[in-house]
Amino acid sequence: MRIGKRKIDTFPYLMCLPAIILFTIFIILPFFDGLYMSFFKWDGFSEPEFIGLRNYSNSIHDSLFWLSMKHTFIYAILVTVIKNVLAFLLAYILVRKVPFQTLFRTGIYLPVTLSYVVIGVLWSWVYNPTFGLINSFLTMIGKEEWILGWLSDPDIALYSVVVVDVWKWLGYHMVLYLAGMQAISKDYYEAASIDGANGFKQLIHITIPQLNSTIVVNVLMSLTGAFASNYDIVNVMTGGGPANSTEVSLTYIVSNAFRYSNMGKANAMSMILFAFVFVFGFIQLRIMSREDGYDV
Amino acid sequence: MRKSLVIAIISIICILFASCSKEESASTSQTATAEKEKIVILGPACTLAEEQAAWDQVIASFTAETGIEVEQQRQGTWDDTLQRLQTRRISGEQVDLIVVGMGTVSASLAPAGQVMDLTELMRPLYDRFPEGVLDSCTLGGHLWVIPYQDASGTSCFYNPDLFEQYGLSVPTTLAEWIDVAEVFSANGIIPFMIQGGDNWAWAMPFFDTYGQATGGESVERVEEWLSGERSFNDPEVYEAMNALKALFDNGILTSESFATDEDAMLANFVQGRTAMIFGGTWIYASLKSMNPGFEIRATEFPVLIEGAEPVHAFATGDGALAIPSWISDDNLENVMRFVEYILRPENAKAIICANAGGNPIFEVVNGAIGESDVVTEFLNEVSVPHSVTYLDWIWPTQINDAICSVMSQVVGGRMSAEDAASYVQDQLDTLVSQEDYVYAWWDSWSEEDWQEVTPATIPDVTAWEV
Repeated sequence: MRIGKRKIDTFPYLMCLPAIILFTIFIILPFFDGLYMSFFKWDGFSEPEFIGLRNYSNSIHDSLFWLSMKHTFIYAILVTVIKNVLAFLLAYILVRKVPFQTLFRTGIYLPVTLSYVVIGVLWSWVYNPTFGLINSFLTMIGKEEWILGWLSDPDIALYSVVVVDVWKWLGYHMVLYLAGMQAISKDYYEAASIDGANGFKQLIHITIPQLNSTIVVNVLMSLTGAFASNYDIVNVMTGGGPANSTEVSLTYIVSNAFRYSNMGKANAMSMILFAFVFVFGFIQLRIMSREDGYDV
Repeated sequence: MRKSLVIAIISIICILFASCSKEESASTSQTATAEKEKIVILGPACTLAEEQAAWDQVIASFTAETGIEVEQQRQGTWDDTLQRLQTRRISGEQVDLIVVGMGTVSASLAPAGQVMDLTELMRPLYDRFPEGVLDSCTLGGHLWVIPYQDASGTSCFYNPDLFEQYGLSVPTTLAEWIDVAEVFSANGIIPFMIQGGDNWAWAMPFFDTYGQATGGESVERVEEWLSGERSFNDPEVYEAMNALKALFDNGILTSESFATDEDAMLANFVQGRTAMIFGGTWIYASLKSMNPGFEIRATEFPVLIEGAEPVHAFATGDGALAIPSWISDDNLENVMRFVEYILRPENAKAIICANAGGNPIFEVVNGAIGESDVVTEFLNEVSVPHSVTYLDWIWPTQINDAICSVMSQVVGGRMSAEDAASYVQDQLDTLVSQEDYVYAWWDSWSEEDWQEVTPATIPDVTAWEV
């Protein structure tokens, strides 16, 4: 194809076309359809009725929606921080020669291969007050006073679910950090050792700066993942309870759509959630990628 | 090489679009897609394999007799049915019969005009049901579903061996229950369990205590409340909530119940870890299948409010059949022929008994009753006369969720009954102001609305009767 005197090679664009078409059909179009439907009152069956911004107004005045948003943020921030710190530390340990290295790597990665539903059911039994492994173990070691209502105490339930999410994805992030650490040239460490830098200084001045792009990717993935993929685990383990203490925005949106037959409000809440995640992700990417000079 | 790749990419795109397109023009009306000689049943997966086998057998004999094919789309849970129905409605797929609970119909499908008014359609077949069975399937004087599963209610089940072992009598009042609980607790046995890990289950004990507090008038009170004639901030509501709190305060209900779901509760019970459990009567079939030799007895939920009588939730239609209002007119005759066929006593007995593990509690369709046992006899003779319908079939889903949410807090002492009632009242007020919620929606329907759910013609089912 020619535009003026400049010849444009269409081949690369054509190669991207299938992905763009799929992305448009399954992401872009549903997004705009959702945005459109957020201005309607619709029960999923009858004819939609245009109600302007009423769904947004109702969502903004819905205290349970804001409670679920609060839980979503707590969940996302905790999961992101804990996952990345632990994954980094594990990778830092396992990048060296340690006994049973392969066994540890495999064991830590194994939960990644299991579905949220399987993990949710498994951990529900682990947390079970009468049959659960945790309470049985605490009883066995004589620490009954440490037994808590892991999934039944509204002050604890959300953190119990966070633990499960961290457990599931720890291996995935560890592998990414491990790959990043293995790619750092040993010359840096040798030079630093000759200059007298100890292990901690090498970590601060070589490993972390060299891993910046890996950290950005890991944090962004875990943050957006925690915002957008917490439905299954919460639904299986607690269903949003007890007393809405684990209600996250996705479970509440799904309830509005399919339990309360309020598709319009569910779409409006989805748009609000999208706006928050977009802004949050953008700021995070902007701050963390500053040194590498990425175009954001 | 490049040329081949370009051709391959274009071919993939063409295939993609072709596979996404429909063979016929899309329409939300089912008229275009319905096949005259096929019926599609949408519903949750059968809980017991025996029930699915019974459906398969009855359907095979129906097809052999009539030549009409029946496709069963049975998967997922009862909760998924609404969502699956919505997607089929939007995509214009054929659905002729829905296996659904009356609770879903009264909360969602009937007010949205999505199920057919069966009042006239089923009239020739009313004699297939024992008297009064269709009452709880009726809203605003119109029949919306036909019950096609055992009736269900709330009940306590206990382990008679444990009571005998410790020389205890089954409690009927709070004072007796406290004494019994002390003995069991001292011997390492959980005195009583509910499935508090399932959020939805918290409303069930409230049905019973609110029934006690109102002298069996709980349905009328709720109807008045939803109609705006009274508030949920009411001494009877507080009394019902505080009665359940007393169970926790007196060591009858322990913290284990707060995180125990139905499976765990049943496992605790059949392993002898707990002496008594509370739940829907549908758990009786599961208990029997878990441990066929295990001795189980039923008893009424003890009276927790002084001077009150026992009251339980009980209704037919928990598992029922509805016809979508958007069914093809051409296929309605086939559907009614199928309905007539499965309501024949021998077919109804095969399916309904299989669903109930052999012993339905109640005869919901004439002839659909198996051998009674000590539990079903008790439920029929003692519990049923003391029953009112499920309150969650009356109040909307949002209200049920709100009540379930606060009940665990009240029982656990984290919230007062007054605050809980205020929270629930706020939820109703929000529903009214934001969603234009009206309780008696049938009174506000126009002629046109009724026409949408009324069959154009009534097939003569008597022509097929044997």
